[in-house]
Amino acid sequence: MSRRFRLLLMLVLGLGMAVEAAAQTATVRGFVTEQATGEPLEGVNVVLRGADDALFGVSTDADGFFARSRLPQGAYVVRASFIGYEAYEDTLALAAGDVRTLTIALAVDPAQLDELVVESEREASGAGRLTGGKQTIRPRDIQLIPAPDVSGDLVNYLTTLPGVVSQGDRGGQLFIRGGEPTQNLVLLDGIPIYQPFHVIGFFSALPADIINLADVYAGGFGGRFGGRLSSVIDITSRNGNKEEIGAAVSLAPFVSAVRVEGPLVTGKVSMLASVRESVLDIGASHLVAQPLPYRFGDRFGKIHARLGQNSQLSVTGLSTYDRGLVGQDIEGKVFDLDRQQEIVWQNEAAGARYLHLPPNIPILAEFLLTVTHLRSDFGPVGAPDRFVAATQYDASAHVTHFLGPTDITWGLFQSTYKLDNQLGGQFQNITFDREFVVEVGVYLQAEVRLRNGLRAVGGARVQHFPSKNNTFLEPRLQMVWQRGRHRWSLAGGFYHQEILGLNDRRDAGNVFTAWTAAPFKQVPEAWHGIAGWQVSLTPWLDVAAEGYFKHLSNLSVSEWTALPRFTTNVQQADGQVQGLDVRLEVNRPGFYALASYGLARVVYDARQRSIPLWFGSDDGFRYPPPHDRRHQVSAVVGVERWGFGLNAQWQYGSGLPYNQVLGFDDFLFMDHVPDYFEEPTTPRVIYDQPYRGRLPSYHRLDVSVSREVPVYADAVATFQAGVINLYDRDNLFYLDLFTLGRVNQLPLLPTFGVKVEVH
Amino acid sequence: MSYWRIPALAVVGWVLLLGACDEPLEPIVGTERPYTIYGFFTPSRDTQTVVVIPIRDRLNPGAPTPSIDAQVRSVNRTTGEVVVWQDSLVLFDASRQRNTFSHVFWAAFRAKPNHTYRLEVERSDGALSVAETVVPPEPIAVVEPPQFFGQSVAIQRVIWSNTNRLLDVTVRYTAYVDTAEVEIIEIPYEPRREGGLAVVEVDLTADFNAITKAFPQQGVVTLDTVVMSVFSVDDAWDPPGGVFDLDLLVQPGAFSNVENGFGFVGSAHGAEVGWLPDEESLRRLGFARGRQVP
Repeated sequence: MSRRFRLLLMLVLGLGMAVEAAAQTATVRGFVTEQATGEPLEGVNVVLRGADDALFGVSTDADGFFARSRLPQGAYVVRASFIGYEAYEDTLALAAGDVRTLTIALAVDPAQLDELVVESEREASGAGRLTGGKQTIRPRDIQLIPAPDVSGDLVNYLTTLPGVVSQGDRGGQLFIRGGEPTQNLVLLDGIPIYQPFHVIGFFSALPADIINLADVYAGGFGGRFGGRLSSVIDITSRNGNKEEIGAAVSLAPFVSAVRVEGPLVTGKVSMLASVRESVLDIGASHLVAQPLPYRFGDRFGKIHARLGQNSQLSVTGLSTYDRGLVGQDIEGKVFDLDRQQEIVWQNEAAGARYLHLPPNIPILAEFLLTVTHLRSDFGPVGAPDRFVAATQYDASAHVTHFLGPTDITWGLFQSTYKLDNQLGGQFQNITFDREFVVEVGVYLQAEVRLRNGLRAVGGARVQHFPSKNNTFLEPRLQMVWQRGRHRWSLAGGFYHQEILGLNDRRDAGNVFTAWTAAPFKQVPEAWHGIAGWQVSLTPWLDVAAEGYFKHLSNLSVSEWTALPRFTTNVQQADGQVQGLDVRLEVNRPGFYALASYGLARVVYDARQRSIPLWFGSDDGFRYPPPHDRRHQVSAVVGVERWGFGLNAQWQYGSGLPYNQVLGFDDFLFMDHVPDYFEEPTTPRVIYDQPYRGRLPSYHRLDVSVSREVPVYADAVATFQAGVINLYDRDNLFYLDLFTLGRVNQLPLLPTFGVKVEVH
Repeated sequence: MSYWRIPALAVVGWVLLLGACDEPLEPIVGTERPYTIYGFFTPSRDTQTVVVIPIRDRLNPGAPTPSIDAQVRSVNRTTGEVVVWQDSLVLFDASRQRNTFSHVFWAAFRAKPNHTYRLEVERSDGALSVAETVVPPEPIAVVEPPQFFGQSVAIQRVIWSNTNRLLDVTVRYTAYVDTAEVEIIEIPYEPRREGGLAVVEVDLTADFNAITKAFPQQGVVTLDTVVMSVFSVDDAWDPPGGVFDLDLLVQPGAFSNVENGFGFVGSAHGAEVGWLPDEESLRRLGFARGRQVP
């Protein structure tokens, strides 16, 4: 009997025994929603008290779902409580084999209204509640960060976090704990979004006020996620108000937006739709008296339906577009006509998600069907000569078995990738064909909650690529130990990325990315390790510290060439990432503060042949890649006084690596005996050791003040004014070494906006 | 809240101080090496030439200048003869990626085989770039008879001795049809090493096809002469790994023999050998026989 078969048999027997045990006990499960809107509530404590005062507790997930199985038969008092809401209480009589589904709607408690916005949302969220690399972000967190939009934006919050490096305020590229942007998996309601941030770095591809929550896994993510080396940003959108119609309109110099939501069938089916359009050309460009040659927009729609007590269906769609010039500094000065190029991209994504609770079995089944498409063009304005088209179709099923203190989750997934790159020889040693890649896989993980506060999640994920003849087995582990006020956590795993993004990082101003199956035989892989400690010193003060490492192998990076050209060869490299995050978060009524420090070190070991020839080393070359930001400091303060909200954010980042130059000369290819009277020379860059220099440090202070004013019975207007880059720091975006043209990030920029919301 | 004020003021002061500070940015580190030099010494020409490129702090060299701050001289280390070279400005058509001018220094003498030459390029402040090369002897060719493989494949081996490496190997065919004008067809070849010899295998069959394409009119092609020309280069003209790989060799210092500078100065000895395959071979190839090579 093969080992695989024995393993499968043990699994089936184990689940069978679990089902048998479940037949002798009872299960209570259900969904908790907010009564006024029908939106799910995460983090609600649901406690069942038995006749002998035995307590059985559980909390709700992002869908508002909870389940507690292995309950002895008998009478129970069930109580669902959440800060800021009136508690729900009821009695239950459970017989052996009962699987009871509850639908609980919590009403806002006016007496706790002040506490509501502060406490309820930080039950499990906030920068200070970092656990095993995971942080949950709520809309209120996002709104604390000054932004050019009244509603704030997820990306502005992300860039305040230690370990998250942005190269600038254009391009929308985030490097999370040493990983490249293309190594981040960004999901919206389970749909992968290939280019999830807009061309202006203040905006992600979806507005903040459609977000229910975003789970950011900076590393060490579990078996449900795969296919990326670095991190996961798992965004769950709101379902829309199931009880009444709501709408919002906002106007600001960067973007204007409209949002509509409401019931299609009251209490059962809701819709949420949003449209945003950039207005830089008629807005912000006049505020800075400079052209801002960027356009972008996004459209989002979602329908959510409760199909009875035991199932839910949602359909989500997102469409985005971006257009911007490359090779132009922020003052609109074109310093090299040859580099005046345009990048255009569009995301089109849609997905359906079905949640089902089988009537008599204590499991939760989730089914996902998604499709996502990225089209990106690059080249001379109006006549692009390079394009990328990537389409991904996914089908997956995820099943969780609730076995008392243990949850067993397993899933099946199948993905098909259609990749088409026409790059005009940008990467010269790689042949890009139209590719179809199929991936199938399975994962299994067990979450065990022990009595001493220890929770362990362990499992494995298997991915198989039939056309590539590649199979990867990826173990994953997370452990959390809650000891009084202290929480200790460990997380780690092994990760592969068969479909990867190739970007020429020698050119910081260009985000054009090719998506392809791993071009070399060796597929990029990573090991993650995280160890963290978090303490809630008081109910309003959290401190968290986390150390991490990532070992990266078989990365694809650009070769250096002394010829000033925009084509390159791709070489393989390995990488090492080490870092430490420290966060302190204060969260009191009327006052919020977050201070964080990030220490990180990223090094790559490249294998380019010519580097040893030039610099004399024998075996490859070690260098810090251009996103190796060693020190980061961030401070966020939010104060509510006299009806005004004042937010301020200061960010500091030590200088990023860049290539220094010894000088310039000319080159003649001496593969023949030349005639110097007939052959002109070619300009050449005599570069120093790659990325040995450091750009000036980055720091910026942003402030905003806002006030809500009731304008009609159910309408509230929010006025916001602020300043981005208050002390007008000349933060460098990138330096063009060929022309010595310096491209700065945004200068001092006054912003203002108004949003009117109708409920 | 007064206890917040002192740290808050300190933070604000620190931020304002940082805002007032400008950090230096030095993208051009600079180098003490004054010049990049490309050139070669050769007995095959009566004038020697090198290109001299001052190392600069901008990619674009700017507008052409009549002269540059460089004195160029050569020293024949075998005889002690010193020759001062002259500057000349060579202009080229505008091109997107190439420069529009070069400073080509020249000296009217013929390099001597087996002599060692030292080229010195000196700036007015005394900064000096130097390269040294040994001129190779004249290579010697032996032309073997054509070998036929099957009905139509004919290979003729030309074996060169007295050489380390051959560059610019071309076979030049002179041919005509009836009374039409004579065509000269040049076909490049890559030699390979066999022991201490350089061997060029001339594919007469493939070349016949290329030659006949040069004559659109019908008729039997008459082959007049076959001449192979080569340059035998010095020992240092040997790229890393033995392959001329642009991506590799473009890296500064990857293929350079210039002390305190960049570039490459070698030496090359040109040679030619002519022949005409025998009548039977020409007939089998499809040619008519032309005049005999003297």
